[in-house]
Order: sequence, then C-alpha cells, then structure tokens
Amino acid sequence: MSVEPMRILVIEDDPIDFSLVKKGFEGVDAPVELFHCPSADRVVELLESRACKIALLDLSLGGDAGMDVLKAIRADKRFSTLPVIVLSSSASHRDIADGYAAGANAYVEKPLTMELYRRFARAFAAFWVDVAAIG
Amino acid sequence: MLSHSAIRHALAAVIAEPAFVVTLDGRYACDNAAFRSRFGLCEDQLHGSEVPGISSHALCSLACARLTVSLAGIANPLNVVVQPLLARNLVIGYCARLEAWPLREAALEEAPSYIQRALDSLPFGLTVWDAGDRLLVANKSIADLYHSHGVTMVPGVNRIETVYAGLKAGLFGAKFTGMAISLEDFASKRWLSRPFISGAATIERLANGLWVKITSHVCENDFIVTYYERIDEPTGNEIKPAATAEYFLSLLRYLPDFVVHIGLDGKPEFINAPFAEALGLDGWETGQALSPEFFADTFGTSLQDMLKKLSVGAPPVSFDQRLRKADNSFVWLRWSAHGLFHGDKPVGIVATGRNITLEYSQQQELKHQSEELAKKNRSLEQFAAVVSHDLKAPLRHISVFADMIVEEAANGNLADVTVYAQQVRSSAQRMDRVIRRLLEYSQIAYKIAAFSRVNLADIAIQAIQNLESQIEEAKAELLLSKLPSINGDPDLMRHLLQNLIANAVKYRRKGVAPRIRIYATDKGAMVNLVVEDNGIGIDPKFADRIFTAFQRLHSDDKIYEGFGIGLALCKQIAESHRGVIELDATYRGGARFVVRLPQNVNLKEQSS
Repeated sequence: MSVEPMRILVIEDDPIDFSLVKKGFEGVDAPVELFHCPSADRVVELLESRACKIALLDLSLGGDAGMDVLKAIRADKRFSTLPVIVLSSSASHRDIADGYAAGANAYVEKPLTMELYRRFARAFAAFWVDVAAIG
Repeated sequence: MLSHSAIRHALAAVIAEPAFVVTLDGRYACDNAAFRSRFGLCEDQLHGSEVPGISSHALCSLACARLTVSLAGIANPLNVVVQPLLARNLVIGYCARLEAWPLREAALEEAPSYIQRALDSLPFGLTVWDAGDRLLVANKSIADLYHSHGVTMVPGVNRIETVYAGLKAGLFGAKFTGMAISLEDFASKRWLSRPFISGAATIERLANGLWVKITSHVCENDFIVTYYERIDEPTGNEIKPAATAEYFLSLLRYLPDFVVHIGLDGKPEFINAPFAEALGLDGWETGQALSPEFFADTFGTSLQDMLKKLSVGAPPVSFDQRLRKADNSFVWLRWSAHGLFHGDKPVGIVATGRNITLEYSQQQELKHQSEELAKKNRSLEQFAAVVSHDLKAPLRHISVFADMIVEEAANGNLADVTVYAQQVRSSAQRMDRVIRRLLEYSQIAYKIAAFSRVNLADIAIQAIQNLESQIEEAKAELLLSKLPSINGDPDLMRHLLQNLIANAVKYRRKGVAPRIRIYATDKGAMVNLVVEDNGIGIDPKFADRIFTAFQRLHSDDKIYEGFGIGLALCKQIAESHRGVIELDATYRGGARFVVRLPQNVNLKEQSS
C-alpha cells in the first residue's frame, strides 16, 4: 500500500453525485484524496494544480460536455495517458461504446445504492491503488 | 394567266363592238364574242400573242388613240381605237375596238370606269402591282377583304407593307400567330420575292374560315398580278403542306408548354402563343424579343455555349429557369433544348419549356418539411437524453438516499435520516419539475402550426395577462410599444412571448425591479420583435447554447430552473415561422432577445 493517498479528480457537475462518490470512498476507507471539479472548463487547470493521477468523469456533464472533456484530455499531451474512469447515468450501448472509443479506461454506470457506491470505491481502490501501475 | 373568262365576260357585257384587250406588256389577253365572230376566231386563239405598237403608244397618253395594228392570224391590219384600261386611275391594260364601228365618244370616255366595274364584278380578288411593288389596281373583292381587317388597299400602297399588315391583322387566321417578326425581317422572306412567287399558288385559310388559292404571276416588266380564288376546303395532295402546317401550328398554340425556335443569329424564328403571352409579346411585336440578345437574355447563357452542348443525335440539354413574366410574376420553367442540324451543321435551337412552378414549390415544401422532421427527430434524441439524465439523476438520488435511510435506521443512527429524507423529497420535486417541462415541451414542439393573421400586440397582452402573478410579485414594469401584424400561429406566438417575458421577469437583478420593453422594428420584409430587460443578462459566450433544448448552463437548477427548455421552444417556434431568434450580444444593460419574423410569408401549405 502506498503511503501517499492517490489523488483523484472527480469531474462532476452535480454536487449531490459528488457527495455520494465521496461518501462511498469514505465508507471503505480507501487511501484516496478526492478533488471536485464542477465544470468542464476547469478540468485541465485542476488536473495540473492538484497533481491528480487519475480522473473520474461524469459523462453526462450536460449535453456533450462530458465526452468533449474526455476528448480534450486525450488530445492534451500532458494527460493523454492519464487513466480516466467514466461514471455515467446512461447504460446505453452507444454511450458505452462512445466512451471507450474516446479513450476511457473504464465505463461504470452510476450506482443506485450506497452499498453499490462503496463496492465501486472498494473495487476502484483494489485495482487502481493496489494493483495497477500508474505512470 | 389572268382569269380570261371573267374578264371576257365583263368585256362582252360592257362593250358591244368587236374589241380585244392587250396587257401592259403588249400581249393579247382576250377578246369579246363580237370580235371573234367578226374574224371567225376560236376562244383564246390569239391569247398571249404579241400586239406590237400598242403599249408604247398608250403609255404616252390616257386619251384614246387611233392606231393600225397587225394581229397574227388576221390577214389585214386593223384600224382600232385604243383606250387605256384604268382601275382606280391606274393603267392596267388596253382595250382596242374596231374603228369601222361607229364610235360613241361618251361611251369611250366612260371606258375606264367600265373596266373598274368589270374587275369589281369578278367573284374573286385581283391585284396588280408595278415593278416598284406599288399597287396599281385592286378590285372590290380584295380591297374589301383587306379593309375588313383595317388594312387600306388603294393604288400606290406597298405590296410588302400591305401583306405584312394583313398578316399582322390576322387576315390569314392562325397561320402566323405567334411568329415574332418585324416588318424588316418579313420583307427579307424568300417567299415574297418575285422568282419565288411567279406562277406559284398557295393555299391559305382566311380568318373568316374560307379557303383561298392565291396565284401570282410576274409579268415581263416585273409587274405582279395576283388573284385570290375561293376554293373548297383543301383535301388534295397539292395543298396538303399548307393544311398540315396550319394543323401543327394550331397544336402548338394549344400546347401549354413554351416553344421557341431560335436561329443562329440569336433571334427567335418562332415563339408559340403561350410563350409570347408570358413575355408580353403579341407575337408580332418588334423590339426586345427580336434582339440578337434574345437567347442570352432569356436563358442566361450564350447561344454559342448552348450550341457547344448540342450535337447530332445528342440528348437534349435540360435546365431550370426562373422567368420573370411580363406581368412581373415569376414562373419556374424546365427547358429542354434540342439542336437543329443540316447534316452536322447547326442551324438553330428548338427549346420547349414546361411550367414546373407548382412542382418546384411542392419540392421546396417537401424539403422544408423534411428539414422540420429532421429537426424534430433531433429534438426527440435530446428528449431521450433528457430522460436518461435529467430524470435518471433525481431518481438515482431518491434510490441512494432511501437506501441510506434504511442503512442508518438499521444501525439505529437516526441523526442524518432527516437530511437524507429531505434529499429524497427534493429529488422527487426535481423529477416533477423535469416531467412538467418535458410535457410542456412536447406540447409545443410537436404542435403543427396553424397560421392566420396575428396581431402581435394582442398576443403580447395575452402573454402578459398569463404572467400576471409573477409580474406583480417581481414588481416588474412592462413597456409595450405598438406591434405589427404577421402571419403566424397565435398559440405558438403567445408561447414565445410568454417565455421571453417570463425569463425577463425571472432573471432580474437582486433588489432591482425588472423593467421589460417589448417593441418591434421593421427591416424590409422582416419584423424584428424585441424583448429587452434590465436583468442579470447572459454571457455572450452562451449566445448559441442557450437555444439548445435542455441545455443546462448551471447544474444548480434552483437558480436557473427551466432556463434552457423555454428558449429552445422559442427557437423552434421562431423557426416554424421561418424566422430566427437571437440574443443581442452587444446589449449590456441586461438581456435583449430579437425575434426576426417574415411579415408576409406565404405559409398556406403549412396549415394543411
């Protein structure tokens, strides 16, 4: 286990959803530090200033904004390899395919219970914090 | 040649003495029965033989002269009294009477009028023209015929001008109707020239429906004698071409399509009646239609360019043209141009134009409808996106918070339960608001517009009345200027204004009473309807996005509740009126929305 908590940027325009994600991670006591980015135009700035190693992105950031953010991250040399995990309220095949096509590292449907939030947080930490090597 | 028998009968009727007639060129024309019996001649025996001496003498004087003439076939020279034959004071021939017979001077003096009377009694028309194409004589029959069409035929008038005037006046019925031709062009026609007409007979149908055979004879001295005989409706092969031409010309006249034949000089050789009418030509008018620029002016491409596209056996060239008619209305024509060739040498173009105005407008209407449909389909997609997000988000929140309440309650930890329950309630309320908006949107967005004359001022007052409570609550001040009338759907227009006014009331500055101005400016065929406020305004960078359905600029919809959906509706309404809605980004005092609408757009098709 890392000594330093993993710094995650949560790109989420809905404050309630952000609080639920936060609560999920707190519930499993995962070694992470969450930073909230409430709008698309602050993503790059916060990724850099908060030195985030990974991003959780709400794909339904209002219109196509979420997808645009993903594409912008991939187009930016500094973040082209940054792991981006998409959190979306849509389970449609098209959105899932579009998400991966645009360069998402994983696509997760937003959970419907707090237990599922915790399960997501646990699985996230188990893989991205404990197992995966991140550049 | 001349209708001898008729002249002969006339001669016999007016002159009792043995007498014969000599033509202007000094040839024996005919004689009367008294002359024949005197010398034992058969009818027409001397016809055409030369009678030397008479014409040269008679040309000198109109008076009677005594001469001795020798006639072939008659042994002794004859002493005759020669008298010019006058028709309307012009010499058309000479009458010679045997001098042996007692002269009656009185009768002699009256001879010219006898001749005129004799010619006038002919059952057919007769004209004689001199070498300079001036009329020498026209008998009553032909003079009356031309006169009935307003053309005067008196000695001295010009042959070409007279015939042209007759044609133009419709003397020959339908035959030349639709032919745009000037007198100048007409005069150059080969079939008016002496070599062409000499001895040739043409069959014509007059305006009164009667058929005539017109025969012309060119004398040695270039005089022309023309006579019109009435005939039965032609059936024989001989006159078929004339009847066939008439038949096809009448077909062209009843064809609704435009037909034009253009020569290599760019001038029309033929324009059928419907096209001539559309161009405001009476078929004979000179001027613009006859200019060598006719082709280029009418078709917007040069004759040479068009000819390049045409070759023997090549398919016709088709193109669409918007033609301004003489009455200033427009028609869409689909032209089909064929080349005319002699061998492989081009000699002209025949173009037929079909009026496709109706099809064109239907096509445009279809295009408009399919665009509308595509737009509605896109809206439907957004609709689905909203259902998957705007409805799903609060639903998910309800689920999560309800779940959390269960969890906390199970743990006996009731401290946060109230907070979670409040979240459930507010999420449910948010869902309710979204559903209301969706319903509102679907009602307006899918409404088929029904157009009528709409007074915008009345509509604005209705909209304001509907918003009375909000306006009162905000202590808003409304300034409503004079507004024009437009063609539109009253319900949709009211909705549009209501949305804009509601926004202006809603997005007010804290502590500042809203001041809303509604006014209109004319921009030619468009009306600019303006709703302007002194509220918080809209960042110009959102100028386009605010009109996208369900676009949320702020996630906190407590502040910006219902913002996007209303403007998206306004945009749809403006577009269904073939107008646009814009945010005036230059305005700094608040928000200014400009709805540009056509004043008199013809939307009849839409209402059906």
